Amino acid sequence: MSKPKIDVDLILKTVAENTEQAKIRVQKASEILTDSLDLEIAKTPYDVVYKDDRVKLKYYQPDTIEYKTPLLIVYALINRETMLDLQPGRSVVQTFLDHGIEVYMIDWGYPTRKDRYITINDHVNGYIDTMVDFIRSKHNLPKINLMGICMGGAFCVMYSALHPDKINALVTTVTPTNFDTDKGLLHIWMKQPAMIDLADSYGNMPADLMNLGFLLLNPPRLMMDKYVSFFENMDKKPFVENFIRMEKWIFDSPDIPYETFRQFITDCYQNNLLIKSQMMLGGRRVILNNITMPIINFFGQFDHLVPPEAANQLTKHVGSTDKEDVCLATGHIGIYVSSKFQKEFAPRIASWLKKRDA
Amino acid sequence: MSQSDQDNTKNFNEWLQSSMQFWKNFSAGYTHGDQKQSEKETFFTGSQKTDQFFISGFNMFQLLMASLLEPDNIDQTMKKSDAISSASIEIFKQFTESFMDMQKQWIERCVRIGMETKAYRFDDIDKEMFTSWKNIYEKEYQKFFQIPAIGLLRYYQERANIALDKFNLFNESLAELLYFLYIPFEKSAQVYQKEIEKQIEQGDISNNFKDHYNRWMKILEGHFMSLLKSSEYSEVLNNAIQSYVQFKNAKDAVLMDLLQHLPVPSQKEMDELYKEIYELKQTVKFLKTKLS
Repeated sequence: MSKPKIDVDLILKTVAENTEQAKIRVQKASEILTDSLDLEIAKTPYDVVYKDDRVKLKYYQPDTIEYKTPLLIVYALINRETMLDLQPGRSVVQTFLDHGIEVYMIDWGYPTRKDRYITINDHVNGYIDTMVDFIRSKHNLPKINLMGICMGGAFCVMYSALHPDKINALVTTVTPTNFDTDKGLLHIWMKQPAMIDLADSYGNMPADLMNLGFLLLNPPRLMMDKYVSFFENMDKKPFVENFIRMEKWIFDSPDIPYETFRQFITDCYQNNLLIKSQMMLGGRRVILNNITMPIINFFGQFDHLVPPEAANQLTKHVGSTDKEDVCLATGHIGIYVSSKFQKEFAPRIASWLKKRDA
Repeated sequence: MSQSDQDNTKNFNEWLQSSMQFWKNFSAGYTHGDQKQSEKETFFTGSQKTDQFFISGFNMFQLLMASLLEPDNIDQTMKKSDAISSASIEIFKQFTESFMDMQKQWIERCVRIGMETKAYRFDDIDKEMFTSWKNIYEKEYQKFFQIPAIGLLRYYQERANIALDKFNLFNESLAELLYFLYIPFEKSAQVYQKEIEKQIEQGDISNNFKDHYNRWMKILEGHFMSLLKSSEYSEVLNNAIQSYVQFKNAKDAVLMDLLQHLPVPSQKEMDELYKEIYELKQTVKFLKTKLS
């Protein structure tokens, strides 16, 4: 008797086994989900040392200060800065503190409709400049270190070009500066005029719609497979806690002020003015060649939001002689939160800054 | 006049007369009951206003009925009612024909789904269904929402009509976007079905469901990546967002009309205020920097 092409008995047996496993898993998951879970994010203690409108300046003090120059971190306007302190063992902030760096971080807060007129210039030459001056004054230093994340990185590039005398060293991470690429879907979609009209209609760019847009970058993985994976592992408490912490962070997203969004889309995504040193802020041209301080530029090889082509052009246009590009084999968020890159990312920045600590 | 027409006329006449008698009795009882009350009142009260409005309306009704009861007018009335019913049938016919036409195209599309488009390709998607739908809407229905409004409330009516029109256009764009998002599932199913057929032929089909899921997911992701990068999708996405923005703006305008009767500031007023505050803050910051 020849072997059947489809072994129905074996398939039925596998289905029965899978069903039994799923039943056990759901029972265990039920116990875990109703038990007390550690879902808190951003647990590292800090003080709010300065406040301007809704924008706060957080200060993280290390046990022992090993660096003369403090570091100011500027996060993007999309999502929250809590991503840099997601949980113990996956905290960029904690790693910096362990190395003895005094860390300041801007919390942009939650813009409301009244913030719709706030421009990029207000962010760069307003909030960032005020906070840089506050830190310089507090530490009695002429220059501080600056680190930017994604859109916050682009703001740091603009700031360093306009105020090079206030920055000792610049760290850019997953920072889009060249928008003339069709590698990332955002670079394709943001060229459409509808996005600006949408933000205008709502007053600001609504965070929920931005998040929907991010999910639509890869619907099978982000809207289906991710939750299938959760179902398969929901009987493991550490997995559930990590997963929900990440969900909390992803969907905790502020709206983007309309005028800032409009200018970022038109000047950067549509006209690519930043990398061409043609962008104007507060009547001044942002000339990248004015960036003369040491610069290290990190980006992700598999970043689908800021692909390498969007990030790796910066160092070619700055005036610095001490400059370095670092491409890590990960994605946009993995660079900060994956357990693998906890040893490669923040410690490397700490080491780089140490060598340039005035 | 045929026997049937004569019967209709007779029935209509009887109905009018009985209606007249009913309203006459009702009116007499209603006004009689309130007479003493109204005599006592020296002012023109709300109750008297209602009475007068009712009496006036009843008189109009009586006149209209009496006019209809004239032998010549009964014929005309019957003819007009025929005309109304003919018009209704004509409108219904037009609606049905449009609907059938649209449905026919849908059915034709459904039959062709999966037969014409190639795997991992999105430049050959037939958008005829949505174009036809849009054309039918614009040709047959949109004009009703564009009828010029008249009278005191014309602007309110106009804004309500625009909101309804934009809502319909948004639904059309949304349907097209959802259709685009559905296509990768259809294509992935086809591709994977062929793979399974091959595996069965070779006798090496996996018994593990997870293997099938992973493979299908990979194929689906590949199709989605091809779709999302295509200019066709960008165009459809942009249209959907644009039509949503237009609908939202039109809906907001109607809501603003309603809100203006409530003691709350409108969004437009608040935006003006926010802008003034923003500009004042800028001035204060500038002067502060200048002074320090």
